[in-house]
Amino acid sequence: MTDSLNLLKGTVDVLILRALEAGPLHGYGVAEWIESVTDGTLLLEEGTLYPALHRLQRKGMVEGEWGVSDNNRRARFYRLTAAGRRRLSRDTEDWVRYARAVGRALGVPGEGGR
Amino acid sequence: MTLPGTPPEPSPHDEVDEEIRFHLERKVERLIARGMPRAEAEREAARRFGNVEEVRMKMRSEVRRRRRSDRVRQWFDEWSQDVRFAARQWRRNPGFTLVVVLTLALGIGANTAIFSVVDHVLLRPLPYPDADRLGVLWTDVSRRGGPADEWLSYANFVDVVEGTPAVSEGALWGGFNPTLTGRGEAMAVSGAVVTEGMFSRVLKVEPVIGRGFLPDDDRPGAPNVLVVAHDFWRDVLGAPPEVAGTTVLLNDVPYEVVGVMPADFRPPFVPDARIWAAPQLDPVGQAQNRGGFSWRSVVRLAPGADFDAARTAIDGLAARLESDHPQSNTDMGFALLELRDDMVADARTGLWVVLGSVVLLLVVACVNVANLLLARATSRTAELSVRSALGARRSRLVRQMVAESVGLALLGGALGVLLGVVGTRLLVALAPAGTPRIESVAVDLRILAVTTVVAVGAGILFGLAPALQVSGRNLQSRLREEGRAGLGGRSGLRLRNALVAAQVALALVVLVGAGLLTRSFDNLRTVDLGFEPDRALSFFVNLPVSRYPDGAEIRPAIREFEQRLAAVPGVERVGTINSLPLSGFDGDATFFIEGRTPPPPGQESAAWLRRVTPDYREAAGLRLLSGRWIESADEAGGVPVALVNETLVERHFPGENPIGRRIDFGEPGGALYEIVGVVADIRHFSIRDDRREAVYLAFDQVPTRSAFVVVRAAEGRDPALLAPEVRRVVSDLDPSLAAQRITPMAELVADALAADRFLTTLLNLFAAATLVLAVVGLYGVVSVSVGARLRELGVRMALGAEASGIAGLVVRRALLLVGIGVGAGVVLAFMGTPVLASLLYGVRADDPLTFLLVAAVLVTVAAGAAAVPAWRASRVDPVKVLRAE
Repeated sequence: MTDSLNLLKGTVDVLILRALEAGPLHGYGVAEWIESVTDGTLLLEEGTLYPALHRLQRKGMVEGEWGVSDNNRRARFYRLTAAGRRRLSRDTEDWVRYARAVGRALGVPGEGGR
Repeated sequence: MTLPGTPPEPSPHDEVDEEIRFHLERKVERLIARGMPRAEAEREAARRFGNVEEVRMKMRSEVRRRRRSDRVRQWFDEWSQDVRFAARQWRRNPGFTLVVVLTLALGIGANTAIFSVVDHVLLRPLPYPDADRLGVLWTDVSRRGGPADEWLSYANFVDVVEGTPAVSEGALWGGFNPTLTGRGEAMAVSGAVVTEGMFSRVLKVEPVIGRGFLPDDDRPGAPNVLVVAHDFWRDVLGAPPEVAGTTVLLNDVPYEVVGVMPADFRPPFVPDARIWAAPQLDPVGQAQNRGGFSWRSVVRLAPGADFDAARTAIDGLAARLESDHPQSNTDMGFALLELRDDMVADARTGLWVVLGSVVLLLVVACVNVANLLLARATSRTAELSVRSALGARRSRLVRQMVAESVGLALLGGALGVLLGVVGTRLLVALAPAGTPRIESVAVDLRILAVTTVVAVGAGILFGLAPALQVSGRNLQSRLREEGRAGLGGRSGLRLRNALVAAQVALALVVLVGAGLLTRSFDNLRTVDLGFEPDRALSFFVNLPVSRYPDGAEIRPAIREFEQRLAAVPGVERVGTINSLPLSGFDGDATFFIEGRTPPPPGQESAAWLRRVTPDYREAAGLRLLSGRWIESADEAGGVPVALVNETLVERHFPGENPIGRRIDFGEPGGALYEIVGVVADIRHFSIRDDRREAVYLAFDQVPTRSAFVVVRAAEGRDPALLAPEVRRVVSDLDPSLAAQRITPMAELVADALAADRFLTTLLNLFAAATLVLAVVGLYGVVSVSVGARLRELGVRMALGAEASGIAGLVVRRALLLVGIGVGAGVVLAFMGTPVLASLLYGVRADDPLTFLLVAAVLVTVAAGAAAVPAWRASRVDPVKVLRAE
């Protein structure tokens, strides 16, 4: 994680995995979840989700399957695989450590005590 | 995994487009729901999404990559499934699996082993530079009724080599087996005498230490020099880095060691030789002795020359020598052989025969595997058609069947490789001593590859062919036509019948070959040798000229040996001869009968000359036919006496009594020997026909320094156990003497039969294996055809046929197949067995008894193989069979 591009890409992946943790979602659902949980802080090009989803699918982190959406339209749903679940927990740990480290460096209160 | 019958996936384009469209539509709907006008909502959605085209391209490439890796994964999944499926099939039919695997292994293993031996012994070039230009020159006296490969006289050899431009180099060699003393216990050393150019110019192999022979080394009176083998230098001399100045005592004569040959040097003559000496040739004496055959040769052709041209030139030269030297060269020619051919001449026919039989074995093995796989594939028609009806792709079914047969073939191949390695070692260990180049034989990887490809290829081919056939498009209709037994129909059965008949035919060929060799070997084994080897132990002593210069010293020494050995407990009789039967030693001389006109030059008769002591006859078990044997009264200075053998009497005294007649050996002033008895012929050089004239003289009257002593053990004693006593007695008498080649005579006989025994054993092994394979094939086909005809048999029984009648029906049909195979096999064998003729003794290649016996064995065994399914057929319950319909 040396440059911002990688950071961004990694962020997208881990957020997608987190979005799918609760259950299968289509791509739009993932975008919506990210928007809502970050209160719009992370505004990303929604289109970048899709290549990321397919890449995760190729790597076996998620599985994609055509299904029917809540408004009765054909949509592609994504689901976490066991590998994806393992990856999510590992990435979450990394992210927390990363955030704490950055927080300590910036002197954010409550983050320097450990 | 994709289930068979799943509709094809949509193209990545449609899929990706649909996903993007869905997203944008949801977004627009959401924005409208928040109160945004449609047009603005669409713009906002597109803005939030980003570059649609770029996203689409990225997604498409991801989808394509994913599908590719999915396909690979699926392919692996299916293969591992196929392999597991195949393994399940093997476990379910262990008998079938075992038979296929063992059959292939047998075919591959046996062929690898035999091919490796044949390749190394017959086909590989010899390990010398330009070895294809090396040859051997022999004297050809076949026009005089003698052998075509007689040894050479020095003068004739020199004339031929010098007079034939196509022959650029030549050298001579002779035997040299002295006793080494002065370095521990006296020891017999096997070696050769070679003329100067043998190593450097003919074989083109140089010593690794010191020098080879120089032209001066051959001169009379030159210092005695010795070139030694690498192991002799290491073990006997203690591996000095320089050898110059090292001296050894051979037959009490000092020799200076001048050179050491490379460690892997094996001369084409006397392969176990450890020392080589230079002959000190007397050119004058050698030039006069054109008629004496005391040398063997190796020659090298000039670059670019070929053997045929050289032969033509040599024939012309021989004619000139004949007119120049009528005394010695009348009716004499020369034979030039390629060195490799000459070395393997004795082994060649046998090896080709073995190779032929093992190739037939491989063919029968492949046919068997094909047959088994065919039978099995067709018997699975029903299963396959069900799976195909359930949507299994045809390629998938084919692949599964191929996976099964390839797996079997690979298993068989692996086991075959193992068998090949073990078999080759076994062959090398069992090969008769003296098989040329046998020591270098090892499994040949190329050959292993070839046989494995053949057998595994057969597995794939015969797995694939029925798979394609069975899984064909009209499977359903064929299934209906052929009934529920699902057995591949008449055409499949016909093919399998033909294959089985072919197997029987090939098996018969191999069996006849083995039968003929077995009968021949039996004849050889029971041949009347003319002597009794069973309780006799022989050894060789060489009395050095330095301490035994003359008869005056030799006679008492030999007499002393005989007396001391005879006194050893368990010894019954001890006798001495100069050339023991089957030892490879003998010497002949031209003889003349007193009172007869001497024949013209070139037409004199020669007889083998043997010098024997009075007790030799009983020690060796010779049979006296008339007159008397040598007695102790026949001493030096007494009346010279001789015994002659049956052949000499038949050829020279037909209808006359030879006793009392006198012969001489053509030497001016030479003695006249009075014939006092006639002895039975013995097998001297070979167990095969060996009818040559022989004369036995009294050892005391014509003593020689090298002699074989024969010790006959008392009844019930093992002669081999006398060896330590023999050694002790010899060294007690003279510590510088060594008893060499201490060998029970029965062993000499066994050695003489070793090549025939080896060949016969191998051929019998292969014949047995081929027979088993053919019978397994027959059994398989009969079983399958009984299964296919259950309904017909059931109907017959329902209509009142007896069980025995049904069984008879099955056996009769099987025998018909066997009959066809036997008929074809007899024709094939009749055409093929003449190649065996030169190997056979006392039996003709078309021996009717062997043919008849083999055919009878095949038919009997085949009937036995058919009897099992026939018995099953006779137990068919017609009610069950018909109800099942």
